[in-house]
Amino acid sequence: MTPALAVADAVEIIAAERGDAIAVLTMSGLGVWPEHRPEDFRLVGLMGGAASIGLGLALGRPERDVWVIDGDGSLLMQLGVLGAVADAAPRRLLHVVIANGVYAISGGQAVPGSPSWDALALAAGYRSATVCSDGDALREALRVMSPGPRMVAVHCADRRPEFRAGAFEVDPLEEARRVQATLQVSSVA
Amino acid sequence: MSAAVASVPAETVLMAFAELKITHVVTVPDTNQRTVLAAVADDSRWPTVRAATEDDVAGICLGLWIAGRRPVAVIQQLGLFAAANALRAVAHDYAAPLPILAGLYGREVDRDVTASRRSAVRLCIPLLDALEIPWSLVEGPEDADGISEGLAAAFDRGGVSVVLLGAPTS
Repeated sequence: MTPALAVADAVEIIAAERGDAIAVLTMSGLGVWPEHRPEDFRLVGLMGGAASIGLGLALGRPERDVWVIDGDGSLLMQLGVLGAVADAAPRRLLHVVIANGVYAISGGQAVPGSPSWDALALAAGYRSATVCSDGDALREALRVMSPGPRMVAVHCADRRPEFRAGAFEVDPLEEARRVQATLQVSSVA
Repeated sequence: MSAAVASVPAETVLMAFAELKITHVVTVPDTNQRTVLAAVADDSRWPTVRAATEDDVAGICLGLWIAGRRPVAVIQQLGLFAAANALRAVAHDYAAPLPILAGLYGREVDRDVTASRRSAVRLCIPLLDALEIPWSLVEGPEDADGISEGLAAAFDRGGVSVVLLGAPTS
């Protein structure tokens, strides 16, 4: 399979499909994410932490959809989180993996191995998992309404994306407090 | 720091959780806290979130806190070594409240923690000091108030605080 989908194109589709889901963004997905909302959590400085933070958000706000936009390299760093997600089984958690096979931010070095993400997720206990490599398949997979936890992995070209200016300039202290305040307001409203 | 250590009842720990309005217990199991984990499992006040590594415990707790909850981490002190980067981030980058109850696995009863023959015991406090994470040591029922106080420090100050349990809970 030769992935033709650029990371930026995949992320455009994900962003367009996410509805009112809270997005947890990291790595390349963060670097090209087109539009940030106040409830989007942008993770820098804690590679591998996106899925666990998303799990906490999903358990803390079970009435909200939570989409974790992970990278393959970052998920490999904390692969055991699949077990925690499956065990807690938040029904509204979608775990998206941008599988471009490289550590794009650090210069495009290859990620070790080429895991079968759907097999890993299903073996860990996710309720469903899909791998896709073109835009239509990705769109279709994201629109599935079955209960989570779900995984959608998208194979992308291993070219280093053109990151948006300032995409990684995130103040963690401000980030966490803004998302927390936004969620508090939305739960009261 | 006395070398004499004694059990703290699990009920004392649960009372501290109630006092601090803890909403979730996030854990990688700990030998010293078997009775605490068993009691929590039988108590509907605290959903238990099981993780495979302590890094994930830190991330899950961060997510829960952002979602407006008040989690506590129940782990073994070896996990503090394993999760050093995650603890650094939560403690300093996010300054998010993360109270941790950590059993001191391998702590010898015949010597002070700082003189332990076991590096996992002897180096634990220096590790926390290096990470600028406040800690307290609970060595028996006479220190029991230190559990609530030590865990509360995370919420009061923002950031990580660790209560080290020197003996298995009863």
